[in-house]
Amino acid sequence: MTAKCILVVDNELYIQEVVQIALETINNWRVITASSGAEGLLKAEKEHPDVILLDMMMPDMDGATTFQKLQANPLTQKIPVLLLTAKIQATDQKRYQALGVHATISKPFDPLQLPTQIADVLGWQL
Amino acid sequence: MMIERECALHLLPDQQTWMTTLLNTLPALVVILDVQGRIVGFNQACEKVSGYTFAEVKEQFLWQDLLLPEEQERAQAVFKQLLTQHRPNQHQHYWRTKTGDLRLIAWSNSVINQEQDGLFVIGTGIDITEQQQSARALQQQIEHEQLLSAIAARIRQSLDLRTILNTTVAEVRQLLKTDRVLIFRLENNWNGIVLVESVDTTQWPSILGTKIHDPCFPDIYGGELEQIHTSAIDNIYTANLTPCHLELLIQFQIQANLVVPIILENRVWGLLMAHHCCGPRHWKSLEIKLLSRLATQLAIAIQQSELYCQLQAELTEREQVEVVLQEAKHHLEQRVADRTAALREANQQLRSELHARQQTEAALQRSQQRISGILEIAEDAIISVDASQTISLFNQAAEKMFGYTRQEILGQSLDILLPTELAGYHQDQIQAFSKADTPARQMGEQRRPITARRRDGTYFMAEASISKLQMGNELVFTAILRDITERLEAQASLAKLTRQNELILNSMGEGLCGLDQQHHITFVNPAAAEMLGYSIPDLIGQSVEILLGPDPQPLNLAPNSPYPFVDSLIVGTTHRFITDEFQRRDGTMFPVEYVSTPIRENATITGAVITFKDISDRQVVERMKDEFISVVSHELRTPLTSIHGSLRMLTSGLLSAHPDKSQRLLKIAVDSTDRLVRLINDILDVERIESGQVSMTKYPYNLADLMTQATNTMQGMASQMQVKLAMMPLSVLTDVDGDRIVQTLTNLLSNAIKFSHPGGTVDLKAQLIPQQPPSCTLPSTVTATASLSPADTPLVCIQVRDQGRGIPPEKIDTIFERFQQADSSDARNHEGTGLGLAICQSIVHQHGGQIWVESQLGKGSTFSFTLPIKQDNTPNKGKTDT
Repeated sequence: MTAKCILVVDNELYIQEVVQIALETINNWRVITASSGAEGLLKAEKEHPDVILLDMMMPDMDGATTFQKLQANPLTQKIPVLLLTAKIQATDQKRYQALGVHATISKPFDPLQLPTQIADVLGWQL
Repeated sequence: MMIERECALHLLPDQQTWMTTLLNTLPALVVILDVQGRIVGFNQACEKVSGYTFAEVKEQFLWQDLLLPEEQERAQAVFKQLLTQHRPNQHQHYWRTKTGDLRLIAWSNSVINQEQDGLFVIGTGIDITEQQQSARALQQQIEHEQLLSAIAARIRQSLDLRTILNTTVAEVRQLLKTDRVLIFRLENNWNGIVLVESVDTTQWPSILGTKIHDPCFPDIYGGELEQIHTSAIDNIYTANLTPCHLELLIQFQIQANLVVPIILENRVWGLLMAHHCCGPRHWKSLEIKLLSRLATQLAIAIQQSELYCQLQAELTEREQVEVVLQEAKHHLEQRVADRTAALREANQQLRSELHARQQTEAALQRSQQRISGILEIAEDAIISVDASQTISLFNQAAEKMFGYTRQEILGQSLDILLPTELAGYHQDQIQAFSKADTPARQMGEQRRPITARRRDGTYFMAEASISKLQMGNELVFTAILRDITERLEAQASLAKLTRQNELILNSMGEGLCGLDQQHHITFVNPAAAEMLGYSIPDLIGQSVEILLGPDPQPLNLAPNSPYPFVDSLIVGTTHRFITDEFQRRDGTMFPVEYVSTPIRENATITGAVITFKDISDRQVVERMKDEFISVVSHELRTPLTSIHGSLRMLTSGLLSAHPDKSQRLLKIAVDSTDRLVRLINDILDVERIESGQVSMTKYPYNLADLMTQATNTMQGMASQMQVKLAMMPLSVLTDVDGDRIVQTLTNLLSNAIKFSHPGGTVDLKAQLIPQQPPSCTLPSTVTATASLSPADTPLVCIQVRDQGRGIPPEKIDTIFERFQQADSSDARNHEGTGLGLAICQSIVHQHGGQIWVESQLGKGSTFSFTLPIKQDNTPNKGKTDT
């Protein structure tokens, strides 16, 4: 299996780092990070990752807007998007379903299980 | 043969002469035409009839002079037919004689072919003019006879004189082809009237009913019958008439006049007249004779009719006499029968009366017993008084009601049962009633209850009726009374209950709406009307559909109706807390929660009640609560994610070969733990302060000391961020919790430093501001929290100003709420918790001050708060040294 490329879009730098260390250490996946929605859009278009882990609550451009822009761009619209969010109330979940994302991983998450969760959703063999 | 032919040729001129002679001797007309129709032969009969000699017409076309222009074409057609078909034919046409007379000739024509001379046409004719005239005269006579016969037949068949006369004048006018025919009735004084008339009113005036007095009538028709004749005037202007007669005829536009007298019983009954108005007319003798004979027939008809009328009158008179006689006879017989029956009836009545009297006496006895029983068992009090109002009857119910025994009350005055002050009034009422026509009436004015008095002197209300009965010379009044005390109490209770219910309904905060089985609104309370935007009368009688939005579902689909109240109406089920939307009068919708309950009367569902309330505010609060919980959850989960993730990786053993990564994860865990601790502390802090669990320990502090302490605390951070801190302390005594005010100042300074650009300046200053009310001193555009200070407390205003990015206008109103930063991620970017300003606001409020912010996007913000200063403001007092 070739190494996957994962784009983590989250304004929380510590969470970026934890995810990066986990995925690189456990699966040897390549992890690139973005600290805002705008940066995430640029890197998604440029790097064309295999999956995007997207935070919802971010300054300037929130996760929902970022996702819609990814979907509107022919170059990024086929990239699967998983939400990585701490907003997991029932009302929030309804919004995420309406958006059309592949899956939602709630914070706090278990970094050791994170690769398996991503692979299960996207049908990857680990 | 040769000899015979030669003889014939020799004889030919002689034959022509002979032929000519022969033709001239014939009485018939003979004319010979060549093939062009020119006359080549014309015998003497022709000359005699036409007046032309042969020489005058020789070689002329036959139709040139002899035929009428209108017949020339037909004659030529006959001529051509003869030449083409060579068959003899017949026809008739007129010859116009030399003198202009017309003669009708019947012709027989044939063609002869002379070998040497060609074709000739020979016509042989007979003059049938007289024959035709005779036939016409005969035809006219026949018509006259037929008319006479018809009229005579009608006279025999009918006695209706007017019909006969009308038919006669109509047919005569048609036969004579004249303009007007009438019958004029002559009176005894020689006046007369037009009785019947036939006239074409489209051309000539009708003179029907016209009365005419002609002074000439006595002279003309007053003499002997033998001298009275028919008058036939062909032209009134040439007939040498008397002026008065001429004037009369001209008046009716008559130009020719035929008048025939109708003679009846040796006198002139009237005149049959024919008028010609369009011009003079010659009256033929046949016509005159016809009218004379008609006049005779009419006289017969008139006589018949008069006789018939006379007979009818006599018959009628006789019938009337017979009727009178019959009635008289019948009347007499009836009187005899009546008299007999009356006698029988009187006898029978006497017997019946005797029997009835016996029965009445028995019935009276029974009735008296029954009345006595009724009186005793009646629940109503029954009291009788005489004219002097002395009590003569007092039943058991009355004893019970008033507390008197019968022995005590009989013979007493009625006044004893009435309030003393009303006794006189009652007496007057009874006196008035005794003179009234009505035998009974309700007592009390306008049917209101009356007041009665018991033996113990207490009063009670009673419903009473009174009747009067004349018994011989005595007038007896009987009153029936019913104690209505309990009923009045029940009515009062009911009215009170109704008022209570109305008050409850009117004061209910929830809307109440009653429906009938047809989904019509039967009642609403004021709260419902107000929520729906209608007046109560506007809603009553409306279909409930007006509440259900612009496109309601059908209401008749129970039990599967989308509206639960339909189930309540039809099935009788109660539905609680249905969440739906109702429509206001202006078309806007609002969320409601309602309960629908059936209304039952005697186990029958008669309607339903919908109790509803507007849950708009509640929904807003719930949304805010959800949002707040979501934010708090997010704020707590974010550092927890870093801590948990780091520790899981560290404890997994996967990083044993990566010490640098382990070290980094340890730092992340520690920093995130600190952040989480700060957040929890802030949450607990703000909750404690707002709930009043933390009391402010107030001492007199010099504000300058507190400002300096806060500035010193934040100096390190400012230096690190390359921001200059500029303070202008104000020495003034404030009665505050020093630690909390320093906390407020450091929070505000921390925010100002965090949002300043490197090289920027943060100012901290204080100033005294005049007095309350705060609205006089606050900018109108700023957001200020509520003031808790007394109105006359002196104030100091502390301000923290930065030159940072400013706050967006839409965030200004909520900036002091928990987790409401200018940017939702600021807490994470700047290591804040999102609770600092909420804590500041709580501390300021606890000191009776207020806090607000002014901001310009891109230019910076100024946070200000006020504190009351100590009234006795002596410096160096309290804890200023600390």
